[in-house]
Amino acid sequence: MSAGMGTGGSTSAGADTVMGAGMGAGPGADLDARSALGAGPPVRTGRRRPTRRTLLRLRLVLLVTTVVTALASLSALQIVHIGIDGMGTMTTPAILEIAAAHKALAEADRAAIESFRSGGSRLTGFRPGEEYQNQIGIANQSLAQVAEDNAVGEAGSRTVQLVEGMLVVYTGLIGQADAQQRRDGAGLSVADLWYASGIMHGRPSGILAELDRLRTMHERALDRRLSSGWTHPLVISAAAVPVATLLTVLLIAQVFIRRRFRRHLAPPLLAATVLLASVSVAMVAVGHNSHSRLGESRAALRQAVAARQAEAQDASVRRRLVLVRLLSGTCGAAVDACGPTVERFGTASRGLVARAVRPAPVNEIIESRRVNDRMRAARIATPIPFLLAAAFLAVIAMIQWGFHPRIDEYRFQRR
Amino acid sequence: MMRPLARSIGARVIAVAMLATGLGACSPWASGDGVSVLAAWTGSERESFEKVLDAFREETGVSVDYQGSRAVNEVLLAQIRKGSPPDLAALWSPGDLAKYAKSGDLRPLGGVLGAARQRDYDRQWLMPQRVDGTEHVFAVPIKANLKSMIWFAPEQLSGPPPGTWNELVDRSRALARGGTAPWCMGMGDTSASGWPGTDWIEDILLYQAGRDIYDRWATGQLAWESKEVRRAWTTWGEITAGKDLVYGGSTAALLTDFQDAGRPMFDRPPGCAMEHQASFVVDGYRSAFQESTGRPLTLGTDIRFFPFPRFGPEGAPEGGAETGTGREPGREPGGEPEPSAAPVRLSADLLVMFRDRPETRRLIRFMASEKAQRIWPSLPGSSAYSLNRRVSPGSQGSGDTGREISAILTAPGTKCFDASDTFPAVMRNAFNRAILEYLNEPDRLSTLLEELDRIRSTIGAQEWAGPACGR
Repeated sequence: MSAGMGTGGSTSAGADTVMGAGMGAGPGADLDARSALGAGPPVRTGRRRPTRRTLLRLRLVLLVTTVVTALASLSALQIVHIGIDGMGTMTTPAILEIAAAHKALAEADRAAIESFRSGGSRLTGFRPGEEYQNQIGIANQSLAQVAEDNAVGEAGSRTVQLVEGMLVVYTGLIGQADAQQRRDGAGLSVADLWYASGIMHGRPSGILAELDRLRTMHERALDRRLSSGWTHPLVISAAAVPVATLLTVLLIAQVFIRRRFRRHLAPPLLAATVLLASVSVAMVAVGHNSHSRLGESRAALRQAVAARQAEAQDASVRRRLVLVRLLSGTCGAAVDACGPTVERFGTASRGLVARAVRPAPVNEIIESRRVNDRMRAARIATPIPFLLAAAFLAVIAMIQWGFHPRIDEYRFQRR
Repeated sequence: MMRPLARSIGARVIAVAMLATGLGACSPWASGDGVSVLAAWTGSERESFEKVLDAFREETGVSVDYQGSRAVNEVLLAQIRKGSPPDLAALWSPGDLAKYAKSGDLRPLGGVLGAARQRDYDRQWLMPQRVDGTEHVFAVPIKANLKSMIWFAPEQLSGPPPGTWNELVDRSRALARGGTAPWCMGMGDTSASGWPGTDWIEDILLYQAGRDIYDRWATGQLAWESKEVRRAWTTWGEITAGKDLVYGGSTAALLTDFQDAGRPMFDRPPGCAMEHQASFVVDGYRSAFQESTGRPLTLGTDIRFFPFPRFGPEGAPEGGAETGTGREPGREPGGEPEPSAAPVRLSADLLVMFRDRPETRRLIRFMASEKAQRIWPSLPGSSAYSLNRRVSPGSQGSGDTGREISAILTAPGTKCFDASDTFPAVMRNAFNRAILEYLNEPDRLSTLLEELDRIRSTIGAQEWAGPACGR
């Protein structure tokens, strides 16, 4: 049985919508609160006492709903804020630093091999050289930063430790190649160089491969957050449902007052409704803005990483070409005479050509600034939670203000 | 009035919303860390190990995070120094294990495993160490690898396999004269490059000088400059410095990864005929064979092995006692009745526990169980062998050859650990390095042995692990 407009009766069992229940109200149709909760069969009572109690209850419902909505909205806002913060202070910087470390290490290896080929006397050794040392230094700094910014938990920190461990082995072997060459010229020093370069570039578990893996882990985490993190339906509905409930209840309250008292809608309640509606719209706008800025930041990040990768790739190609020449010289003939591992390396390097002009070095500062600017723009401005809280407080005040005269009217009717 | 009902519905809706918010708040921070395991297995070995882990994950629901790196020693050291070791690690070096046990980093496993599980293994493999006056066991052997074996392509080496060293050298020279380099050799392996050469020296020493000499040398009591050890090196030199006996020469041996060394055996025409390498090399052979011929390798047909040859009278040890010096393989046809088989050299992957937690205990207990021990060897084409007594050679997935290897590993008789695996790290690294130098320039042998002895003298007696050979 559903309640219709203006009909006299409605039962709690039949009313399955909030709106329906509201609409069904009419003079003489009040039901006892207890029966409405299903405690017994519907009982019709008079109109005298319940009205004030009903008003009080209604006000209570509104206040409670407002408080709950406020808490839900503020929590949702906080979740979003923390999410964006995490992306901005950990995941995104980590990705940039990993790409920077990757590039520095590829350059270091190239520098070591090039200086071996070009320089080197028995007295001075092949002097891995300043560029090698600088790049290793840059890589170590970046790795330390990655360890701090690691955003993928223990798997990430173990990978960083793995890379650091392997880097120790790598630099040791380069040092050994240097010492060996001082002692007796090429021969074993080429082998050391070869082993070292293998640690750096080996797939699937060389240093650079591990860094790629780590970067991919972070990128996946970032993309997961962006696509389902703060825009997660759960978070949105968590904020939206209480607001919708509150708006609904506010509307019901105003309709009730109008019907009951045959007065105009209480202006404060109307004001509260309008305020609430604008707050909702504002929240959606803030959310939309954040989302767009995050998207832009992600795109800028992709570009920054791609630029660094291109440089690393170029360094790798150059290193290959020099290494092939070095190895052919050592084995006396072609690279094929160096055993199956080198032969495969030589085959894979055939046809590679270093670019005549090296790509313009990435201006790392400008790139990361761009990424960070977008990220900063995506953040929820600090005043917003306070404004939101203030808005809800205003709504509460308006509810009080709206109900007070009505409740007051009935005050002396109680006995 | 419906408002109270509205309120109750509203209340429920709000409650759900709050709960949803709460859940949403919690999930980004939920982290199930599970058990972390570190080992050296990469590539196909990694996949096989993951299958063993999958069985554990299914049985218990506990998550396991496996990290594999060939530079596992350095990685482990770095992690321990930082105070964040993995929960479990698979060590292949009894020397490192002894070091970590003595420093208190390892957790004893006696209570964790229980007496029943321990009885499934020769105590030797549980790596008993004396710590603070009491002996504890510290390891579960995940799998073992047979060393002291020489793989060959049957179509290149016809006739009965060489039984003595001299026969081996003669056959090698014959092959070289015929235009094929007899030996495939590859020393490359990241920071441990050179270890395949140490395997040569160890087998030569063990079979030439006998088990007692080998054991003394493995525990630092025998000098590198002693005549037995020096003779082992020069014996190896018959091969490495021999004309055209090594594919690509010793330079190629230096520049070839140990996993690639056997590939030329499957080239058409073949580049080399034999490789001295442990049982785990078969995995690499399978992929190389498949790439080269387009069909899968059949162990026993396309590739076979013979045991490391013994040394004839001129190479026999002086004053042979009956207790296992220079024994001849029991399989020699038409030979004198043999008391028992030759000592067998092997390596093992030893699982140890760094952090004692309920989940790590569960995993290590699982790894010691027959069920877990059976998984890897039973995989088709597996080159993993279990030391668990309950896992019979019959459950080896590699056919007759695999079962033969498994039988050798579990047969009664003297088993010796790879000596360089038992060395303290500094000695082992120096040994690896000396191999590379010797390949590069054999004339430097005296200098190398001198240097090795100098390093040996800096190592304290208590730093050496226990004996390499069992009873």
